[in-house]
Parts: sequence; structure tokens; C-alpha cells
Amino acid sequence: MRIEFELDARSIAVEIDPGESLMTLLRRIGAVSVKDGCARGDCGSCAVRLDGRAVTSCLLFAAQADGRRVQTAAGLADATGGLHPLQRALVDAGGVQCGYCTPGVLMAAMDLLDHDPDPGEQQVRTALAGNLCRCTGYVKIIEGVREAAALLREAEHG
Amino acid sequence: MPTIAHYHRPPDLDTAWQLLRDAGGSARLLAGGSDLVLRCPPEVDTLIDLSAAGLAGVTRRADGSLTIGAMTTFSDLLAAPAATDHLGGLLHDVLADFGSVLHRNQATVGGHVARARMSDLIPGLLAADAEVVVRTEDTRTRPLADHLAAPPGAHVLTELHLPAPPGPAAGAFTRFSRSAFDHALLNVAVVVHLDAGVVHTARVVIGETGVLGRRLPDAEAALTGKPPTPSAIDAAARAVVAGLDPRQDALASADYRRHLAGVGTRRCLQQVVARLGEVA
Ligand SMILES: Cc1cc2nc3c(=O)[nH]c(=O)nc-3n(C[C@H](O)[C@H](O)[C@H](O)COP(=O)(O)OP(=O)(O)OC[C@H]3O[C@@H](n4cnc5c(N)ncnc54)[C@H](O)[C@@H]3O)c2cc1C
Repeated sequence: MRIEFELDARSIAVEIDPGESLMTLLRRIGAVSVKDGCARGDCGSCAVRLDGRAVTSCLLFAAQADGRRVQTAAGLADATGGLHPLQRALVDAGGVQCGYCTPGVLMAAMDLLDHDPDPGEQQVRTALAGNLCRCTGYVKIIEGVREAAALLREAEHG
Repeated sequence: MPTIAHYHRPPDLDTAWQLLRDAGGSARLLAGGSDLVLRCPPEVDTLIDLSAAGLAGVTRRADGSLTIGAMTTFSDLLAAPAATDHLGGLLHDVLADFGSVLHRNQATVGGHVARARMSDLIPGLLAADAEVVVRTEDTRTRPLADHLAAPPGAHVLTELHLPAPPGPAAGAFTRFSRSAFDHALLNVAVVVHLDAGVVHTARVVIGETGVLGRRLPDAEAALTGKPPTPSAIDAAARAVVAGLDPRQDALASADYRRHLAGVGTRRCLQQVVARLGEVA
């Protein structure tokens, strides 16, 4: 079947197998920031935003994206490759080590920051509970997300 | 990967039902997809995506009852005060640690109930006396307990209905698992209705793998007709331990599960009493 959807502000029209997962489709068409970790919804490394909400793309059928908006970590940087404040803050805080979990963490954190511009530590922990990281021990990721929230609030209010 | 030949996204419930009926056993309804992606049976070649059929939403009626559309995600349910306030926070207890945000953003209430495996939601719904509305050739409403006992064959679950309690009432839920992400070894949901300071109705439900949710009549009887004092709570917890015949597996012995059930019952009832203090 053929589906159309928005991927990081680009229009995509693609032939899919209706049994394939959204993760499989995205990686097949080159969106390889979406990581294939556990493929069963446990690790969060395949997280994307579907109509704004962060979800594990391995547990969605690709067909479910038809007519909808999909965002990945690759869409965060600006046109010249300049990092998004969340990416910058995560790097600066030491919240990126091997990097495998990072795209999924970014998507879960973006969903959080859209709903809560000033999250406390507990809110960040809850929002990232579905993203496993084996390097950082999480503390630096949490600090990075909270720092990003502060930067984004500053940018908003000047 | 499931081999799917046909994918439909019907615009309304009638069309969804007709597609399901006409496809016979080769079709499955698709809600969030979190279960179906992993467990699509090999004979299934048709998916019927319910996302456009208008089945999402949470409504509190004037009489205090609650209606939850089958396609409501857990995140939307958790964000609806009508749902999280019902019975003093019972559904909040269930949902606050349910899976993760990534899962709650996708998984739906209807898909969860229809999947009918180890569940943290079903015991809470049973304690809340939930009814399900099911579309087959006709539309019928029946208690969730009856629905689970006798699966109706091909059907579309359209909504859940949680009746308004007759007077001051509160519920609570707790679960025990090795880690937050593991399936619960066992969970407990309790709802108590008071009438003039005395327990009018109590529902005590224990869920575990294999048994989605079982009421414990002796524990309920230990509470009914008395004020919910510490000694009544203690009697109810002991009745749970005595009345439960839990499973034994690699994760926990039957004795340990029995112990957990008693502890969970006591904790839930203490929480219920605290919540009743707030509504009284
Ligand atoms: C990572 C992860 C974490 C989880 N954590 C928990 C947890 O903490 N506690 C817990 O209890 N469970 C947990 N689960 C189970 C989870 O909640 C269920 O998989 C989920 O609710 C299923 O909902 P869905 O909308 O994705 O269903 P789908 O996968 O779309 O459907 C499931 C089944 O129901 C059928 N169906 C769907 N909608 C309807 C309908 N309206 N009428 C009739 N049939 C229908 C489908 O045909 C299918 O057979 C977890 C699952 C995952 C993957």
C-alpha cells in the first residue's frame, strides 16, 4: 500500500508493506537516527514523535503514520546543522556518551518540554522512564534536559 | 513481521464492525498497535485501524458516572481530571506508573481490555464496577466481569462505563513487581462505598498472571456493615491471605504472592480511608 506522511517537515509518499513497523520503514528510507534497539518497546531508542507525542516506532505499524506528522531527532538541528538548544545542553551536560539512546531521549524530552516548559527532576525522570541508557547513569541526561528547559524559556522571554 | 494484505481505516463504527464481520477470522482491529505488532496471529491478513472511527474521549456525566472511549490513550486518560478524580484517584494510581510515557502515548484502553492478559488496569476497572459497551450485530452493555468471562467472539469494544458511586466512595490500587518495567507479580484494587460512616459496599480485587482480576468475597464481607477501622482492615487483609490460591512460578512462590496480596490489601484500604476522609 501507499502512504503519505510528513517526516521532519518533508512530505513523504512511499510504498509500504502493511505488516512492517514504522521503525523498519523509517530506517529503510534513510531516517537512521531512529535506532533499532530491542524492537519490543522496552528500550526507547526508536522513539519518534507522532503528531507531537513521543512513541516507540517499533510498536507501530508503518501504516498508522499515514496522513500524520512524524518527527525524528534528525529534524532538530537547523538548516546549517546548528544544534537545537536541547541537543547542545545534552552534550554540554555530558548526557551523550555512546549516543545510541540519544535520538530517542531527545524525542521523549521534546514531548515533555512542549507540555511542561519548566519540569522538575521528577517530571524529567518520569518522561524518560521508557528510554534506557547504559552509559551515563541518567543524572547528566536529566541535568541536560532541565538546562535545555531553562535555555528555551530564556529564548522565549528574552 | 506479520503478513498483512489489507489495511482499512474506516471512518465510523458501523463500517468498522461490517469490515470485521465480513472478514471472518482473518481480520484484527488495530487500536494503538503495541500488542498487535508483536503478536499478530499468522492467519490474520487484514487490519482494521480504529483511529478514525471516533471512539476516543473521556466524559463525566451529570450523574457522576464516567465514560471512557475505547480509543482513549493512557496518556489522555491520565490527563483527564474526570478520570483521575473518579473514586478519589483509583485510575491515577493505576496509570501513573503504567509502562512509560512512550507506551502511554500509544496504548489504548480498548486495546488493553481486549487483549485480556496480565493487566494493571482490569482489577481497577472491576473494583470500579465497570461496564463495557460492545458493538456486534447489536450494541450491548454488560458488566466487564461478564465480558471477560465470556468473550463475545467478533466484536468492537466501543466504551467503558464507570457508574457513579451511590454515596461517599473511594478506591485505591497498588502493584508489586521486581522492577517498574516488569509485569506485576500481583496487583490489588479496592473500592469502598460508605453509608452513614459504615461500609455499604466493598470490592476487593486481586490480579495476577493468568487471573485478570478476582474478587475476594470473604474480604469484602469482613468490611461490610462496619466502619472501616484498622481492625476491620486487618480482618479483610487476613481474609485475602486465607482466600487466595495464587500461582507459583520462577518469579515468586505462592506463599510470597499470598503475603503480597495481604500487604497490598492493607495498603489500599488505608489509602481508601485517607481518601474517604477527604470526601466526607
Ligand atoms: C512497553 C510496554 C509496557 C507495558 N506496560 C504495561 C504495564 O505496566 N501494565 C499493564 O497492565 N500492561 C502493560 N503493557 C501492556 C499494554 O498496556 C497493552 O499492550 C496495550 O494496552 C494494548 O493496547 P493497544 O491499543 O496498543 O492495543 P492493540 O495492539 O492495537 O490491540 C490489542 C488487541 O486488542 C484488539 N482490539 C483493539 N481494540 C479493540 C476494540 N476496540 N475492540 C475489540 N478488540 C480490540 C486487537 O485486535 C488486538 O488483538 C505494556 C506493553 C508494552 C509493549
